[in-house]
Amino acid sequence: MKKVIKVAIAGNPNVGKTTILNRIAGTSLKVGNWPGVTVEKKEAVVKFGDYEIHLVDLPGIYTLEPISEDERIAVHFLEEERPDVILNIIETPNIERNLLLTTELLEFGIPTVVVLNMIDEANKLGMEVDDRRMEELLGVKVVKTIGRTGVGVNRILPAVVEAYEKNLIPKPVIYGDELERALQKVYESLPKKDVTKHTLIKLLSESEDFLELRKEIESKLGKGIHDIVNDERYAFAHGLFAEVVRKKGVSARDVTDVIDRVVLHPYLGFLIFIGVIYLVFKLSFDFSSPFVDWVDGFINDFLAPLAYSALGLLALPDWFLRFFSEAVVGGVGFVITFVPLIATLYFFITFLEMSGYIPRVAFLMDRFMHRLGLHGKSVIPLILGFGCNVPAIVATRTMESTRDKLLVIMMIPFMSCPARLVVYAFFVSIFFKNHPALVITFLYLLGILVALLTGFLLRKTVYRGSMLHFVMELPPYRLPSLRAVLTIVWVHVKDFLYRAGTLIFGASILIWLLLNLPPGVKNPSESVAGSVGRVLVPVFEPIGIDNWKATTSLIPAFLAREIVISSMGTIYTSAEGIEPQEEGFDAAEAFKEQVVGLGLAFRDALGSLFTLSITSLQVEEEEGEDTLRELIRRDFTPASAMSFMVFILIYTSCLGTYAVMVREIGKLRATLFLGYSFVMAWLVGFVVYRLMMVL
Amino acid sequence: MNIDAVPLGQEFTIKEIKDKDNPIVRKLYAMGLKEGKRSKLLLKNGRVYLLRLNNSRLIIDRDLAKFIEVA
Repeated sequence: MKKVIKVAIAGNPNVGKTTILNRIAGTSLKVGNWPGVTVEKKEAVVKFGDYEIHLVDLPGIYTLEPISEDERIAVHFLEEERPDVILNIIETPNIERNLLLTTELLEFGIPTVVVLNMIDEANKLGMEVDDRRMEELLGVKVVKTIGRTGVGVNRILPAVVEAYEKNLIPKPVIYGDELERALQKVYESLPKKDVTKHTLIKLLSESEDFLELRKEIESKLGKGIHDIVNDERYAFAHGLFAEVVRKKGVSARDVTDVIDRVVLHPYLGFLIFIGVIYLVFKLSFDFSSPFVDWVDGFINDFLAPLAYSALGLLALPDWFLRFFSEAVVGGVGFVITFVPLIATLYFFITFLEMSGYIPRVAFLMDRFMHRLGLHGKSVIPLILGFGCNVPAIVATRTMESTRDKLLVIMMIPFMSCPARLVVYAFFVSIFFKNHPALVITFLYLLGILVALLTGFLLRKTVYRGSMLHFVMELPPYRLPSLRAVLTIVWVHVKDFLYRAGTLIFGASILIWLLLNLPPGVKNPSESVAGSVGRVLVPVFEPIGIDNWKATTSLIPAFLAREIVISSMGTIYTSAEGIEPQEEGFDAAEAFKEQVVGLGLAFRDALGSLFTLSITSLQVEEEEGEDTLRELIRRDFTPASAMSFMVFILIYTSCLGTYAVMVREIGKLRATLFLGYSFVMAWLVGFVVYRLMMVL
Repeated sequence: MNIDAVPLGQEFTIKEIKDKDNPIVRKLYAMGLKEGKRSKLLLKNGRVYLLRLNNSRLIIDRDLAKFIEVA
């Protein structure tokens, strides 16, 4: 059996801890360029020589005095779990500040490997770090790396193993005489002698048992105990910095400052922000649209006929062919066509996250958020909500105040995620072909408006009180590598496909079964699913959703919003009997057509990059055909379609979001919020529907 | 004087940081904002300031900035 080494990866926020872990362990954990990407401890296991190395990626901390929840997680692990080795990642351009945490980590007396990351950026700034001298002074292993490119990363695990095998306990950190004397007294008074310097300092600073000793040193040095300890740590870190860092010449002009002067301009910056958001959606829609059409054709004109031919040869029963056509092709297949849209949107969101732009929005939007009683930092989880509500809710752990955290969590579910975009894209392509961008923009803005209204209502009623201070570090801009962005995009796409293969497929099967029960039912409206849908019709009728097929599709949508589409696919193909076209299918010819189609999709997608307006989603479709779109056109009006989309936007119909809300704010609050979002969705849907009927 | 009085683009020295028992002030300290340090006011936006401190950039709000005496 391999021996286990437990390694804690610790460091300041946004120093590249997760990037390095991904490089070492081959994981695809989320990375970004702002402080607070990692808010939970994540573990990866790698085998190296005779060892199984458990690498625990901790949220970033500036100090071992935690304020926010993510910081508490990191500090708790270091204090309570006692890792075998500490891997301290340092952002070398800011090494002086980073060494303050290094000093605190050394107090644990645990074998330590210091990683001088972003060494290329430090060199550009004219800094040179003497790693050998640092090893000599601290008694630790030191490795220089460039996490983004992987340079030097292969030297980390050998250093970890060496530190562990040789039990390289760092040299003791020695502070000033007065503090050392006081710590010695604390040590002598303890019955158990197996304590770290970190514990001794904590006891001296906080324990009632050492109140007299604390007062004594405070009066001797004329300052509070926290000041004494911090000044000593800082002096140690500064001394170390002076000893190991050499500055050569003048550093180059900083590009970040130049960009920030424009991007963070109070007025111009706001316009740029709007422009960036527009570009993200324009490029996502237009670039993905040809591929969405291609995947649709690939499934319906190639895969499905091919499968029907194969199933025909096997002489399977009629019910199975129907199941395949209605639940698999009609349900899951339909949702999968939107994978290119999801992938492209995530590509741009990830690019923004990794470039360092997202935290800038916090600075820009503070003026506006302040009016809501929140500070700019709360914008970050809200923006992340456009990617997915679940990690956005978890990201609120970086917030120092519980009040702010609760307020923001209750606003996030109204940020429209890509799963909802799938539903809009579908309905807009049927009912709003001439103004797709306008309608989708309206829905996104409506979501933001409901979030702001919710925040305002909560602040005026439940969550009164003043906000905490706003302090945050802004990272430099970094051009993310294509590989890194695509890795994250693949994680999201894989997750979407996984959901399609599990949750969505399961829901499609269930819906299909309920549409065919009780056994022998001829008219799907009289099936179990139809009966449930018909019971719900009176609830939704006032908002224009007056047919059982639509109301039934809303029920499984609680699992994930895109299930609305797969359920509609299953229900409509089942109820209206869309026949698979399988006659005269030539697999070779169809395959050739698909290859040509893919080439054309690439051409159209690239061509779309050179237009300014959003041109996609303007689907040309022959009216009168019994396609799913045409069947839905018969059952909805533009007003009821809009009301349906508004309902999907506002109602928190997503199990993942509900589950994470239960974890973060408790079952009662999460369930109350679910009820609130339902009522709000219904009310806004009602207003929108009635207004559209009048206009 | 405090940061509010510093013109944009001007460098200043941190003279004193008040209320060091306040956890958020201690966080500022850990982020490198310390007496004697040179800093530069890069931008202002409403009630928030963007400071440059060595090679890092810090956003702090006006109320927090009041804890910092500069020269």
